[in-house]
This record gives sequence, structure tokens and C-alpha cells, in this order.
Amino acid sequence: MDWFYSEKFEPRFKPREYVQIAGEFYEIVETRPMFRWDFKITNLTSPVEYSLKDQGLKGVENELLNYRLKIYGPVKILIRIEGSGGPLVGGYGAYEKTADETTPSEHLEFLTLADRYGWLYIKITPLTAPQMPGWCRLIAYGYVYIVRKTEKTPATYTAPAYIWSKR
Amino acid sequence: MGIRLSLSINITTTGTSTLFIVPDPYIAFLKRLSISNGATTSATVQIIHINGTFAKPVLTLKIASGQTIVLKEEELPTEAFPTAIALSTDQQPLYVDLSVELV
Repeated sequence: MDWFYSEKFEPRFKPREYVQIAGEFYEIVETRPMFRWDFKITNLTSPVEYSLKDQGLKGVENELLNYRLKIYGPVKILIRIEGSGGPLVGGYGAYEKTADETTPSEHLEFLTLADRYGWLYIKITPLTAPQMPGWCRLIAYGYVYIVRKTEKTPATYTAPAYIWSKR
Repeated sequence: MGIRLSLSINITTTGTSTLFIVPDPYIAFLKRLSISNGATTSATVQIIHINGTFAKPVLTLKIASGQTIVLKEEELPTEAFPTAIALSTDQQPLYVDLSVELV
């Protein structure tokens, strides 16, 4: 299995593996491809902010989404991972990264548990405004892990740091 | 790779004509463009990208009477058009073939 940020994009977790998210343990029950998520905005004359959760990029209960973002357009995007918290990501604030069309998708890989942990908040800044309005197209693709919360403490578990820690 | 499609349009009016409207949520890259000038005088043709309500000219061509200009991907604007692509001309008729890729 390739780990996060490798060029090849395969499911990270298999059934009967465990992940720890915000201090809780979850068992992977099933792995499926995720339906592609699409977003487009045109006529951007000034920076705009969106919660991608409100735009549909979230799982239902017991779904852990593992996706990569692809960015198109003359824009710069500040991506904030929300609902993460914990000391590893700077207290109860949020982890942020800046990306644009040149950022490889493998550097924009995220995990979102249902609509509670790891969802994304973005600020899109058009590069060509005010002379010319910008536009932006985002695609998210990846996998869905059906998870089951467990009271057991597994011997080994794995998850990226940004949603690792207890809130 | 995105969804590829081609279309052919006869332009029979001067001024601005829409060539292709991009369906949501896609954007489109122009991959190939061919324009033939059927008028008796040379035509000045402008390719226009539409972004929402904003129109941005991206390419201006001078095409002699009876001439056909074929532009391949590397000669075309590299930016995608998010809403539509249009053409403005001071002569008609023009025969336009284009190939686009939706992503």
C-alpha cells in the first residue's frame, strides 16, 4: 500500500484495519470508490469563502472519505481543514495550506469523517482580478471507507496526523 | 483525460456568435480550431472566452478571402473557458470547426 501523498492513489485502509480519529477508534468495514464531487464558480472579482461541507463534500454517518482535490483556474486557494483540532495541528485552530492549479493532486489528499471531522473550508482568491474576473473548478475523487466505532483498543492503527489527535 | 467533443458551425452573421456553451460543472479547453472565410474580403476574427458574464478576447486572427486557418492545441490559448466560447467577425460567412475537451 502506498501511503499519503504518493503519486499512485490506492485505498489506504482495508477491512479489519483500524483508524483513530479524534481520540476514537474505528474499524474499517468496507472500502468503495467515492462518487466524484464537482464544484465550479465563475465571474470571481474578489476573494470568496466556502465550506465544502455545505457544497456536498462530506460523508454520511459512518463514512470516512479519502479524497484528492484537483484545482483548475487562475486562482489561489487557501484550504483549511476544519473539525481537526488537537495539539498536533496547533491547538483548536485549524490546519491550513495554500494551493493552486500547479499543486499536484497527491499533495491535496484529505480524510473527512461524516460531516464532523476533517471537512474543508476554502478561500478562493482570483489571481487576475480586478482587471479580469477569475474562475475556479474543483474536483474531488477517491474512496469511501465504511467504518464502525469500536470500544476495543487495537494493537496497531493508522491515520494521518491532522485528524489523529483527541479534541 | 476529459470528455472530448467536436462540432461544426456556419456563421452567417457579423458580430458576436456563441460557438459552444459549457455545461455545468465542467470547464472546457479548446483543442483544435479551424476557420474558413467564405466572404469576398478578408475577415478579422476574434475568439472570446466567456467567464460568467465577463467576455475576454483571447485571440485575434486575420483570415483572407477563401483562406482556411487551422490552429492546433499548442497554438491556441492555454486557459480553459468556464462558461462559453464565442467568436466575433466583421465578415460572413465563416465555417468553423472546433474540438474541445471538458474536464
